[in-house]
Amino acid sequence: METSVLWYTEGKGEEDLQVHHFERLGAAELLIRQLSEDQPFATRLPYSPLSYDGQLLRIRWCVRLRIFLAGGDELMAQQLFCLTAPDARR
Amino acid sequence: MRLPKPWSKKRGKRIAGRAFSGTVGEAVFFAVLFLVGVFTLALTVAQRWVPVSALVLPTGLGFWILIVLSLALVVTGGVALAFGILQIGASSERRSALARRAGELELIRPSLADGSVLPTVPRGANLTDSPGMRLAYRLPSTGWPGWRLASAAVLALMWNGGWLVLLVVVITGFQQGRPRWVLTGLLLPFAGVGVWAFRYFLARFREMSGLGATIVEISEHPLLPGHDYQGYVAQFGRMHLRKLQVELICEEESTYRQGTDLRVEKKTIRCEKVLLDRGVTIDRQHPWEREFALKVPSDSMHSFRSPHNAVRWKVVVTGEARPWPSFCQSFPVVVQPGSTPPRRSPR
Repeated sequence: METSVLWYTEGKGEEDLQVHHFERLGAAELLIRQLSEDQPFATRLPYSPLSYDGQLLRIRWCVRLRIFLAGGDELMAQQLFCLTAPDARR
Repeated sequence: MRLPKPWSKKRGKRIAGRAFSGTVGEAVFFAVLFLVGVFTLALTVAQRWVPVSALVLPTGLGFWILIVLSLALVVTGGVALAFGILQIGASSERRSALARRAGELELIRPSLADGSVLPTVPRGANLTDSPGMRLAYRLPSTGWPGWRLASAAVLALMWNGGWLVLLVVVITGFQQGRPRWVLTGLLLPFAGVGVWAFRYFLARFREMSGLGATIVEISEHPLLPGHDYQGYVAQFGRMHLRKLQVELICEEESTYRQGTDLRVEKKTIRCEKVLLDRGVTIDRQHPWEREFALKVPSDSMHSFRSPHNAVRWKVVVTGEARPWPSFCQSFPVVVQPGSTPPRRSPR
């Protein structure tokens, strides 16, 4: 199971993607963890790039979870969030 | 009206003649030198390899001397003309900014800054290494407005050089007693095109001579959204402008593939007019100078750069002129995110 925090671009141009936080749990670690319970993790987000919704370009931040099943299948889920400057929230 | 004098008395370090006449005279001189070189080179080569009954030029050691001299004329004329074009309307500051253009690639490509506290935000280090006269920083400009002039020079020289080669072919034909009448007839309209190309080049040359350097200075850098800054702009040269304006522009840039082509699309998403002046007259002694207030809107996106996408900010100085061509000079700036990381204390 892979957990990552990343930003990626959408829009006219080709996609750019940069992973900020990455965590991978192997089969042995997954057996130890109780996956039915919450699995908290923490990361300190950078000051940039901020989330952006432009005309040619959009910058999205997300937490992405990728699960590799035993049969070789793969599941992916992501949750978008907005990274803003602290000043902008006041 | 003062008539142009081919010579003038030198008085110490003062320039007694007109710099403009000197610049145009130099350009014409080196262009003629280039064309004479092409003509003699073509004539010498033709004498060597085209059999003629009466040789007018030597074919021994003198042949090689003529080849070397002709090549020297071509190289001297061409290089001096190209160098002269590069010097037109460029102050030493502007030339220095042009020389630093390689550094501006940092605004396009990812650099070491990506590992810093502000990932994907250009550092803009090369934007602050030149102190200003009025304000803290003098911004370097991008682009060179002399491309039209350089293109006109290449067109005029290539066309007229080719015409001279054809002239040599026609002369050789007459010497052999086999005149090429069709080619001889074509020489006249070709000469007309050559004269037009040369006059076009001279007109662009005069225009560029009138357009001087543009200077933009700024009180602080990098910029932050919602903050106010002071700016200073100066336009040098000798011209009358209908309109001269300064804008703060933000544009998005995206690179994408379409088939086998790599395309770049740009879109201006924000344009803040910070200064507008109409009916501006500029002469050598009185450049146009203004101070202005610059405010980056608080809801603005910061400068951003990734391999295929970018958000760029720039101060743009635009002039609408007659009979001179309109011009547009860009001065990139970096806008950082609204909340910047705390400065690291050396303690």
